[in-house]
Amino acid sequence: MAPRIVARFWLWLAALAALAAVFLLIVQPRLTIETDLLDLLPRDRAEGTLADRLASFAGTGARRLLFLVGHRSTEIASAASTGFADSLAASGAFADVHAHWAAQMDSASALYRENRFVLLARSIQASLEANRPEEVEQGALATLYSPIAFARPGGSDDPLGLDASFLLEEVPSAGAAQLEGDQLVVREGDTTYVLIVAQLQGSPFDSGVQQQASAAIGAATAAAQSAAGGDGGAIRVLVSGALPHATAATRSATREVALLSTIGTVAVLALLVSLFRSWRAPALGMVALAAGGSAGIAATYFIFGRVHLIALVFGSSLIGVAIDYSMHYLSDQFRGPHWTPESALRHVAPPILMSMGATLAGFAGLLLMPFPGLRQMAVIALAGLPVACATVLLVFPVLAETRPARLPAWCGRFLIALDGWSAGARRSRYFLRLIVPLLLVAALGLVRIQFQDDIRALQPPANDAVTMERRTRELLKDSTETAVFLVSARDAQELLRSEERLTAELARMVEGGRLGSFRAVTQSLPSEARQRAAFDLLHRYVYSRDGVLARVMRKIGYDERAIAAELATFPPSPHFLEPATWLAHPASELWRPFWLGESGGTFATVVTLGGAGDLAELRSVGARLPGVRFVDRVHDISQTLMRYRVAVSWLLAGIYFVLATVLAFAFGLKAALRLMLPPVGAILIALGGLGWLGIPVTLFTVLALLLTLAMAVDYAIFLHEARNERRTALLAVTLSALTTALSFGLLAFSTTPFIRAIGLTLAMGLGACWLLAVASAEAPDSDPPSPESIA
Amino acid sequence: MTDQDPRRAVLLALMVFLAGDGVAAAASDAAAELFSRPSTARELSSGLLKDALDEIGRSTVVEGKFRQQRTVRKLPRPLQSTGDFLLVRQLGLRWRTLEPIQDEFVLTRQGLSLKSQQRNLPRARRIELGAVTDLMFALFSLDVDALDRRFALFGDGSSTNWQIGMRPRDRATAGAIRQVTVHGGLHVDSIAIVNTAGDELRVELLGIVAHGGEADAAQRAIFEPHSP
Repeated sequence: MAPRIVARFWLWLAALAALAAVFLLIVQPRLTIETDLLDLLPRDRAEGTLADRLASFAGTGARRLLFLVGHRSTEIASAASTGFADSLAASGAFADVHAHWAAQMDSASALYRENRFVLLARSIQASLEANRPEEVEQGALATLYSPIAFARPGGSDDPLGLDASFLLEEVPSAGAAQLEGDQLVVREGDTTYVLIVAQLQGSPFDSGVQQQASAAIGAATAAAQSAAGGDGGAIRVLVSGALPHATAATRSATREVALLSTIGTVAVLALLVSLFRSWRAPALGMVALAAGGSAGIAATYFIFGRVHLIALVFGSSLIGVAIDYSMHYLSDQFRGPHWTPESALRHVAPPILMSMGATLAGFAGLLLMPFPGLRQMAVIALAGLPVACATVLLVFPVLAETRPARLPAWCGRFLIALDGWSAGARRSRYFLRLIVPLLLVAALGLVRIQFQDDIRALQPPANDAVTMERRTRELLKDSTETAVFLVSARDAQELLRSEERLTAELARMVEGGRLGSFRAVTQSLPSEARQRAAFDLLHRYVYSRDGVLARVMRKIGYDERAIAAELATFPPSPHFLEPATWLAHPASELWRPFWLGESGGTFATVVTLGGAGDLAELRSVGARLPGVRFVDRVHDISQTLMRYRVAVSWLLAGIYFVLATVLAFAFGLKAALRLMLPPVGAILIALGGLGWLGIPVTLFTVLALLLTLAMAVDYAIFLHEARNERRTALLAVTLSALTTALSFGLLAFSTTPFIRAIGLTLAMGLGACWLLAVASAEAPDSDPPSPESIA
Repeated sequence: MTDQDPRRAVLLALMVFLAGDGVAAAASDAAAELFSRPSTARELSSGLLKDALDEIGRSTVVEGKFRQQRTVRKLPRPLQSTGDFLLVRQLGLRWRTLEPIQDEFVLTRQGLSLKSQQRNLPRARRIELGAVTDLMFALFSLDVDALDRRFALFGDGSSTNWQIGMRPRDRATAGAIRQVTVHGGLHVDSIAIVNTAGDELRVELLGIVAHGGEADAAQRAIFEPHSP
C-alpha cells in the first residue's frame, strides 16, 4: 500500500483519538439537552431588552410548580404537606418553597398598616368616588354583624374593615384554594388538599434540572407519606407546572430515540454482516458515524453551550448522510478482481466529495437564519460531515478489506434483477406505468396538504402529566392564560397610571363575567395619583368629624373620646408608598416577578390573566390603551413557526435552484435534468403522501425534506459518476437508503407528533429517492443503445 | 342547575335540623365538662344525635328567627343582632339580618350570593365567606364525618338534650378556630364558635316552623340566580 495512504491514516487516527478524548472528557459530562421548543425559536429583535425581560418573566412562570398534597383527613394532609415542603426545601433543587403563608399575610398586613391612609380597596374607593359613603358604612356594619366574620383578619383595630378589604382584594388568586390558618387548602369530596408553591432552581427544560427535581419530588413524596404515619399510602400528590410535561417529553423522546435507534442499528448490522460476511465493514461504518456525530455535537457544544433535542435528532440524521460515504466505499470492493484500496479511492472519492460539497452548501444556508435551532443543525452537519467523510477516505483504505470481495449469491442476483429493472425502466414503459402515475397521485395529494404552525400541536399527546395538570386545574379552578399584558412607560408613576387604566378595563370585564381574574402590581402598589385620591377620600368621607368611621364606631358602642382619638390619627398630609419601599418590603415578594423594572429608560410591568373567554376583546383593549401591549405568546410563537416554515421552504427552493445550476454547469443541461428528478420527485412524493395521510406539514416536516434533498443528491451523483460500475453503485445506493431508512425512518413510530412526522417524511422521501434514482439512472457510457430506446 | 352537589343537599337537610325550638344555650361551665368527654363520629351518629339526624330528612321548608351575639374583645360591647332565615331543601338557605342593620346572604348549590345594598363590596366578602363555606356546611348539616376530619369530637347529655364539642385537629383549622359547641335536642338550638383571638359568636335559633310540602313561588324566587 502507498506509504502516503498509511501516513495519512495514522495522522487522522491521532486526530480521531484527540476528538474522542475531547468528547468523552469535556463535552459528554457537561452536555445538557434542551427540550423547550421555544428555545429553537429566535426572539423578536424589535422588542429588544423588554422582550428579554418578558421572556425572563415567562421563565419564572415556567419554573413555578404547584403541588397539592391530599388526604381524607385534614390533619394528615396538613402534616404530610409540611413534610413534603420541608423535604423539597432541603433538596436544593428548588429556589423557593411556600407551604405556609402566615408570614406572607403578616407582612402584607404590616405594609398596609404602615400605609393605611393612602391605600384603599378598589371597591371602597369606587363607592367613595361615587359619593356613596353609606355603602362603606353599610358594608362595615354588615361585616361586623355577619355570622361568619369570626374568621376575618385584623378585627377590632380596624372597625371599618378597611385593611381586610384591601388585603382580601389584593390576595393573589390561588383559584379555589382558601386560606385556612396559614395553609392554602382546597377540598373535593372528602379529600383535603394542601397547596404548595415551589420555584425550581433552573429551567424545567434542562435535563439536569429535571433529574434533580424529579428525585427531590420523589423524596418529598416519601417524606409526606412518612409524615402521614400509618396511612401514608393514602396520600395523594398532584403536580402542575411545566416540569412534569418537560420531563415526560424528555423521557419519552430519549426512550424512543434510544429504542428506535437500537432496533435500527441491529437491523443495519445484520444487513451489513450478512452482506460483507465480516464484522469489519459494519464496525468501520459505525466508526465513521461516531466520528462525525462526536465532531458535530462537540462543535455545537463549544459554540452554543448546549444542544437542543430537535437539533440532535435532525443533526444526527444528517450524520446519517455520512453512512452513504461508508457504503459507497465498501460496496466498491465488489467491483471486480482488480480492485485495490488505491483504485477505490480514485473511484469513490470524487463523487463522495462532490455530494458532500452539495450537502454542505445547502446546509450552510441554515446558518444565515436567525433561528438558533437551525444553526445548531447546520453546525452539526458542517462539523460532522467532513469528519465522517475524512474518516471514510483516510481510515477505510487501511482498515477495511484490502482485497477485492465477492458478493453473496443472493445479493448478486438481486443486483442483476435491479439493474435489469432499472435498465428496463429507463427505456421502456415501466417508467410511464410506475413512476409517472406515482408522481401524478402524489401531485393530487398536494391539493390535500394542510399546514400546521400551532405550537401546541407539536407537543406530545396526552399523558400522565397532562392528566395530572388538568386535575390540578380542576381542583384549583385555575386557568392561567399564557397571554399577558405588557405595560411600559418612561417613568415608574406613569407606568402605574397606565396599568391602572388597564386594570380598570379588566375589572369591568371581570364584573361582566368575560374574564375570570387578573393580577397586577397596582393591586398592591397603586400609583401616587391613586394614593393621593385615596388619602383625599379618606379625609373627606371617613376621618371627617361626622364621617363613616365616627358613625360606625358610635353604632357599635364606642364613646366620643375613643372616636376623637381614632380620628386624630389621620395625618395632615399623605405619605406615599414608593415603588422602592414597596420592592424592599417582604410583602411584595410574590409580586416582584410582575415588576419588570427599568432598563434603557423604560419601566415595565406584566399583568396576568385567568379564565379569559375572548382573546379578541383583550387584544383590542391592548391596542386601545397607550403603553399597553397584549402579548399572546402561543399565538406569537405559532406566527414565528409559520414565518420560519415559509422561510425554510424558500431556502429549500433556493437550494434546488443552486443545485440545478451547479449540476448543469458540471454535467450539462440534460444530465442535470435527469439528476434533479430524484430530489424533486422525492419531495413531491413525500409531500403528496403527507397530504393523502392527512398529516399536516410543519416546520419540522420541511426540515426533514431538506435532509431528503441532501440524500437524494448523493444517490443521483453516485449513480451518475459510477455509471460504468452500475451494480456496485446500485448496491451502494440501496444499502445507503436501507440503512438510513432503518435508522431514521423508524422515527415514524414515535409517539411525539413532530418526531413521527419527521420519520414519516424521511421514510417516504428516502423510498422515493431510491426508486427515482434507480429508475432514472443514466446508461453506462459503453452501453449499446437498445432497440427499444431507438424505437 | 341540574347537577347536584350531594354535600350541599345534605347541608340543606341539616338546616332543617338547625331549626330547633329556640331553647336557651347551655351554661359555660358545662363547656368544661363537655370537653372532658371525647367521642367519635360513629358514637355520635348512632347515639346522642340519632334522633336529630333522623329528623333532618323529614322537612323540606324550614323558617324561623335567629338571635346572634358576637363578642369581640376589643369592642366596647357585644354586637347583638336578630333576623330570620329560610331553608328550602334542594334550593338553599337565606340568612337575613333585620336589626340593627339590614343585610342578607343566600347560599345555594351554585354558591353564595349577597343581596345587601353594598353592591361594591362583593369580592372581598365573597372571598371571606367562601373561606368558611365548607365549614358552615359541615357544621349546619351536622355532617359528623366531615367534622370528624377537621375536629376532635366531644359529646355529652342525652338524645333530647345533647351538646357536642369540637376542637381543631389540624394546624390550618386551628389557625382560625379555637373551639365549637353545638347544643340541641330533636333540633339544633344553638351554635357557639370561639376564634383564636378569643372572640365568640353565638347563634340561637327561635320560633321554628317546618313542613314537608313544596316551597311556594315567592320562596323559590329567592334562590333564583340573579344577574351580576
